[in-house]
Amino acid sequence: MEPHLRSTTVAPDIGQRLERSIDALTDDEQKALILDLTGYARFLIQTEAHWLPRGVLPRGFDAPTLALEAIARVLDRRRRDWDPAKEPTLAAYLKSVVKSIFSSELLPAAKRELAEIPTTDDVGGDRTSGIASPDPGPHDMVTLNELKDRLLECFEREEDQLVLLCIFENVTAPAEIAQVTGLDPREIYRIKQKIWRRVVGLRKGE
Amino acid sequence: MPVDRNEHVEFFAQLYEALTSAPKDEVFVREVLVESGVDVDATLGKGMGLFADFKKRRRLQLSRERLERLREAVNRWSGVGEGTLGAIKEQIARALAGDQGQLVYQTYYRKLERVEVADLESLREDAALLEFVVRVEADGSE
Repeated sequence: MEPHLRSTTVAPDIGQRLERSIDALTDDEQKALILDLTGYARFLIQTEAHWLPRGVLPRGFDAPTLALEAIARVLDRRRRDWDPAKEPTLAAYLKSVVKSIFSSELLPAAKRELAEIPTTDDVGGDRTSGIASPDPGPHDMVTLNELKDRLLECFEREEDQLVLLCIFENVTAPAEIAQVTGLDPREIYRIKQKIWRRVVGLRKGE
Repeated sequence: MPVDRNEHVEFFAQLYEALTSAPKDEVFVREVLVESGVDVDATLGKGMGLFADFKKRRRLQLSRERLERLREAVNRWSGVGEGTLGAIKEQIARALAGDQGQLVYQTYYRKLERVEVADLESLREDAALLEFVVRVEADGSE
């Protein structure tokens, strides 16, 4: 998916390298990248801002607008902080921009906005009913290992647990998971879908 | 032990990578987005528009930079005659190739084979310089 850079006679600076990487993207690679970033933004919102009403962040930001904002900032040269040692691919860099806009701009603003909502309406009714709290919930107060254990407990089938264990151990390519578990790649695909939905459900407190 | 929230955020980011690592997972990501009410085609359309604008701006910028390099090379040439013709052709080929590598440079150099001193004398004006670039680019492309 990641474009190759053309060979050059002089080492280009980061800005040039970034522009060349973007320039070399084919239409299909661009589409895959937009879809990946939007999916990533959606996953971030679902797991880290699950308490937001309708999943909409301040200034009307949702998953598509967050992904497009990250792309626009990089293309308009408002962001030029690519560190290829840290983010070896263009996709990884763009995701770091999505994450930075989300966690350093939108999430704090969303928490501030929620704190400013009056808790009661004119007739004394609870205006915040149905809106979950952004404060850490029971699943946020556990260590990473405890969180992994809780996720594992969500699955009864051994096959599901095996795939999740592989992911915890950084065995993520379907072919590698198939080799370790002996499962059919189609089954692995279905289990990954199940894990996504369960993770999102768990973050929502389901 | 105090809970490190950043560790959780990092964990979920890695989990996303793991769940979407295969090209086939694109289908699933699309499905999840549609289920969440995202108009995927409209999002792709807007994103492609951003990339198209970027590529257009970049093409213009690269053309401007190339023309500037070419103008500098021609202006540096004092027009002393045949003796310096090879050197100026080399500079022009470098200006046209920019940082695209040795192969592109050599291609341009070959295209300049038939250029004479009289041709270079006329390149002091922008219009002639542009016409010259168009002619060099077209050479061999028919």
